Amino acid sequence: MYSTSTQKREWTYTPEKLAAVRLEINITFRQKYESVMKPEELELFVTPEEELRMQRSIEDAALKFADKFRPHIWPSVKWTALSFFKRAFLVWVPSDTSIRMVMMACFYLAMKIDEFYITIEDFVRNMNVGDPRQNAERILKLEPELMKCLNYNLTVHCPYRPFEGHLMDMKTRMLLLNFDLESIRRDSMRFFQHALQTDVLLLYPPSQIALAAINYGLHAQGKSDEILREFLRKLIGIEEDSWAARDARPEDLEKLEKTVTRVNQILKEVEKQYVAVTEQERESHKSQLSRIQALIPELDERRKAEWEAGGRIGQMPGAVTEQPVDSDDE
Amino acid sequence: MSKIRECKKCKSNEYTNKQLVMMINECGHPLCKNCVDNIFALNSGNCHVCARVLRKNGFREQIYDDPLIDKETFLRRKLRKVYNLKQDDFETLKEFGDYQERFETLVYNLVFETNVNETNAEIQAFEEKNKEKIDRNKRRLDDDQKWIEDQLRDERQMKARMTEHMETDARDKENATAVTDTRKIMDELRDSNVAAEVILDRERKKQIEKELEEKEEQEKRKRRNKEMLQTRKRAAENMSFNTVIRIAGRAYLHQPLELVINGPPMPNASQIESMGYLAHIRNATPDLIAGGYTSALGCSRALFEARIDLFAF
Repeated sequence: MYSTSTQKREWTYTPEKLAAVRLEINITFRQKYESVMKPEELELFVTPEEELRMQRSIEDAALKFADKFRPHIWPSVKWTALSFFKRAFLVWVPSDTSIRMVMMACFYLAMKIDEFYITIEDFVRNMNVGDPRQNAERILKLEPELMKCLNYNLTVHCPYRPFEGHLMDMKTRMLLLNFDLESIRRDSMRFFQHALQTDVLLLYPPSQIALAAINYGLHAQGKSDEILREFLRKLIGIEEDSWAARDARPEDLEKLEKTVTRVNQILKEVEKQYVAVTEQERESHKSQLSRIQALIPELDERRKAEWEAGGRIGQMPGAVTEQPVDSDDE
Repeated sequence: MSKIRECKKCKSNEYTNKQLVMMINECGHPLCKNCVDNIFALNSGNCHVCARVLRKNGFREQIYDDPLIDKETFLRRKLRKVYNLKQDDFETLKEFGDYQERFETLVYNLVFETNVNETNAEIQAFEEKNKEKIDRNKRRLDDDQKWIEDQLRDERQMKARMTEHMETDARDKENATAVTDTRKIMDELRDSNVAAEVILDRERKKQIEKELEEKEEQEKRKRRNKEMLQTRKRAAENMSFNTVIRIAGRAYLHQPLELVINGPPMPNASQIESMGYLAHIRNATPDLIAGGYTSALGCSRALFEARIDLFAF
C-alpha cells in the first residue's frame, strides 16, 4: 500500500526539496576537496544540473540495455531499478562512484525485488562491456552497499498495475466511447518510458502517474481532457446531469479539478524534463567522469598530505566512510 | 500424587468421576466401586485381570495408590493375627529373629503368590501347633504397643488438665466480677435514696440483656461455623479447572479498521462482479485457481492500487 510505504515517507519529494538535496550533496563533495584543488582542476567539478544530465545519459543507456535484455524483463523491473538509481544519487555523487556499475547493480537488485529470477552469470552475459567475471564480482560487491545507501527501503510501487486498474475502470464505466481503449496502450507505455528518465517517480504517487499515462494516450488519439473529466466524475460519483450537478458537493468538484490539474502537471513535467541524450553529450560525460575519477585518488593523497602537514597524525576522521564505493577502471 | 487414579476396567478416573472409590480384593487388582457393584452383583465373579474367582464381600477400599503395597499391608495385618508371638515366648533372641524372618518370607510368598499352597499349609500347621500361645497373646500387648498406649494416655490426660485449668480460670474471673457487682449493688441500695425495687429491676434487666446477648453471640458463632463448613464443602464439590473469569479493566470494544484510500471509493467484491469488471481481465487458469487466485482478486488489486492516494496533492 503506497500511502503507508517508505516510498511515500522517505523518497517522495517536492521539486524544491529535490533540488535542495542535490545541491547539498554536490556542495559537500566539492568542499571535501576544495582546499587541495588546483585552479585548473576546478572545472572538473560539475554543477548539480550537469550531474543530473550525467544520470540521464546513464539512464538512457540503461533503458536500452533493459530492452535488449534476454530473457525479456517486465516493465516494473525497469521502474524499480531506475527508482533505486535515482534514490541512490540523492546520497552519492556521480563523480565519486562508477555510475554505470551502480546502474547495473540497481538492475540486478530490482530483478530480485521484483521476483524476476536470474542468476548473476545470466545477468552479466547481457552486458557488452568488460570481463564477465569481473563484472559479476563488482555487481555483487556493490549490491549490499547500494542497499545500505537506500536505507533498505526496497519496495517500489510502480504505476503499471494502477494503469491497468484505471484502464479496467474506464472500460467498465465508460460504455459510450466510440473507440477502442486498448489503442492508447502503446502511447501510454511510451509515456512511461519517457517518465523513467525524469524525476516524476520521486515526486508523485504511482496512481497519479498512471492516470497521466492514460491521459497521454488519450491525447495521442486526438482526444481532449473531457474524457478524463468524465471518467473522474464517474469515479468520484458526481452526476453529469446539470440538475443533479447542483447537489454535487463542492469538495468533490475540487478533487476533480485538482486531479485534472495534477495529471496535466505530470504530463508537462515529463515533457519538459525528458530531453533525449545525444551521442555527443554522452561522450563528453564519459570523458568528464573518467577525468575526475582519475583525479580523485590523487586528491585523496593531497588531502592526506595536508592532514599530516597540519601536524596531525593517524587516520583522517571519516576517511573510511568517505572511500569511493567502487572506482571505474574500464 | 503424580498419577491419576484410574479404573482399568471402565477407564473412569478422578477427573471424570469426583466420587471415585477404588476397591481391591485379595488378588490385588484394583477396580472402581461402580464396576464392583456391576460385576459382582451376584456376590461372586472373576477378576477382570487374573480371572480368579472373587467374592464381593472380599472387596475393601484401596488405601494406598500402589496396589502391591495395599495388598501387602492387608496380608500382613491378617497374618499378624496368627503370628502374634512375643519375644518372651522364645528362649533365645536368635529364635525370635528366625521367627520374624520366617514371617517376612511368608508375607513375601503370599504377596507375590509363590508357593501359595505350601505357605498356607505352613500357616495352618503353625496355628494348630501354637494354638494356646496365640490365644493367650491375643489379649497381651508387646512392648511397642504398650509404649504407644502410654503415649496416647499421657496426651489425653494432658489435654484434660489443660481444659480443666482453663475452665477454672474462667470461673474465677466470672466469680470476681459477680462479687464486685453484688457489692456495688449492695452499696447503692444502702447509700442512694432511690427505691430499692427500681434498682433491683434495673439490675435484673441488665442481667437478662447480658444473657440474651451471650446467647445471640453463641448462635451467631455457630451459624458462622456452619456456613464456613458448607461453603468449603460446596467448593470441594464444585472444584473446577475452568479458566476463572476475572474482571479487570475496561471491556474490549471492537472497532473495525478504517482503510484510508484517499481516492475514489473502491467497488466491493459483489460490485466487481455485477459491474462487469471481470470482462476486462484475463480469466484465471485452473492452476491459478488451485493456488487460491481468482480473477476478482487480481482485479481488485489493480483497482485498489489505481485509487490509493489518487487525491494526494
